[in-house]
Amino acid sequence: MITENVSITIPGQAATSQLEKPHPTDTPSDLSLVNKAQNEDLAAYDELVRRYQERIYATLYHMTSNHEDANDLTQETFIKAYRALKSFKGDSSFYTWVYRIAVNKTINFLKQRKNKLNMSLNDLDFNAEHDPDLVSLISEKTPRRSLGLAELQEKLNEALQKLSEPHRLVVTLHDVQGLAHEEIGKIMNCNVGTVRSRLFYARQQLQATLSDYLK
Amino acid sequence: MNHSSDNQDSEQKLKSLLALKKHEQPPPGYFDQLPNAVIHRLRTEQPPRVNSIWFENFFAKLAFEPKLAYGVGLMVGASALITGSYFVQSKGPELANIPSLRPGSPLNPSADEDSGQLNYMSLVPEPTLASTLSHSSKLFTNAPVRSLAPPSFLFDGPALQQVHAVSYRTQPY
Repeated sequence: MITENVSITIPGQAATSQLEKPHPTDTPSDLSLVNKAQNEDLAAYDELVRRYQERIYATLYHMTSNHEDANDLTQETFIKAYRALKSFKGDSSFYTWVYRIAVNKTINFLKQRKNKLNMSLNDLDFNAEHDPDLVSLISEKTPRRSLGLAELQEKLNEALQKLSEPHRLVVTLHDVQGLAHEEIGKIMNCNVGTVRSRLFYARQQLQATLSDYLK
Repeated sequence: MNHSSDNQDSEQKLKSLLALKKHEQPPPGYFDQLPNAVIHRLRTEQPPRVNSIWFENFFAKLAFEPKLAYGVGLMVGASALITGSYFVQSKGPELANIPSLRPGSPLNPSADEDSGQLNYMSLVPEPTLASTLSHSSKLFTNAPVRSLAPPSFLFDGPALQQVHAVSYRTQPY
C-alpha cells in the first residue's frame, strides 16, 4: 500500500525541505495522481508533468548547459517515469523518485558525451539586471566590471562544466535550486555528510576557477 | 583571521554569482508545450526493452558510488583472469596439437629449410579412400586441387612482358 506522501505544487519555485507540505484541498495530491497514472490515466500524468517539469528541466539544464539536451532529457525522464510507474511503491515522494530517474539519465548522457562541451545557453530573464546580488557583483571595480551579464553567464557555465558530475549536481541542487542537504542525499542515494563534503569541494573548485571574478 | 574573512567574502560572492543561474530561462511558452510533447510520445512510441533500463540504472549507479565501481572492476578483472587461465589450462594440449603449428605443416614451412624450398604438397591434405569417395560424389567442391606443379605467381606470366609505350604528348587541335 502506498502511503500518503505529498509535495508542494508551485512549479519553478526553489525546492526546499518544505517540499512535503500538503496540497490545497482543491488540487489533487501527488499520490492520487500517481494512482490514476498507474491505471494508465494520461490526463493525471499530464498534471504530474506540469507540476514538476520546471524543476526537472532546470536541473538538467544546469547539468548540461544546453537547452536542447535538457529538453530531450526532460522528455525522456518523464516518459521513462511513466513506464516505470508500476514499480513506484511510494517509499519516497514522487518528486524524489522522478528526480532520481532524471539524474541517472543525465549521468549516462554526460558519460556518453564525455568532455565534448557544447553549450547552448538560455537567455537571462528581465529580472537578472535588477537582482541585487548581481548588481553588486557587476558594479564593483573588478575585471568582471567590463563584462556584461551574458559573458559572466558564459564564464560561470564553463566553470560549472569543469566540475565532475556529482559535484556539479550538488551545487545545482543546493546553491541554485535551494534543496536541503537531506533531500539531495535522498536523490543521490548518499548520506548528508557526503553531500556536505561534495558541496565544500565543488565550491572550492568554483572559487579557484572563477577567482578573477570573485576578487 | 584575514584569510578566513577573505574566504567567506569569496564564498558569498560565489553564491551571488550562482544566482545568475536562476535567471536563465527557456524560450517563452516552452513549458506549455513540454507536457504535450511527453504525452504525445507516450501515446505513439513503443516502450523499450527492460534490459536497457536495467543497464542504464546500473551504470548511473556506478558513477555515484566509487566503491561499487571499484568492486565491479575488480570482479570483472578477476573473472577475466580466471577464465583466461582456465582456458589456457584446458586448451593448452589442444593448442600444441594444432596442425598449422606442428613442424612440417603448411603454415610452418621452416621444417623444409634443408631443401630451401617450400613443400607445396603439404598444403594439400593426404587423400583417404573415404574423402576421395565423398569428393567424387559431389559436383562442386571447395577441396583444393591437387597438383604437383608449383602455383603460378602473380608476376610469372607473359602479361608482365607486354609493355606498351604510352605517349603523354598532347595532340594539337
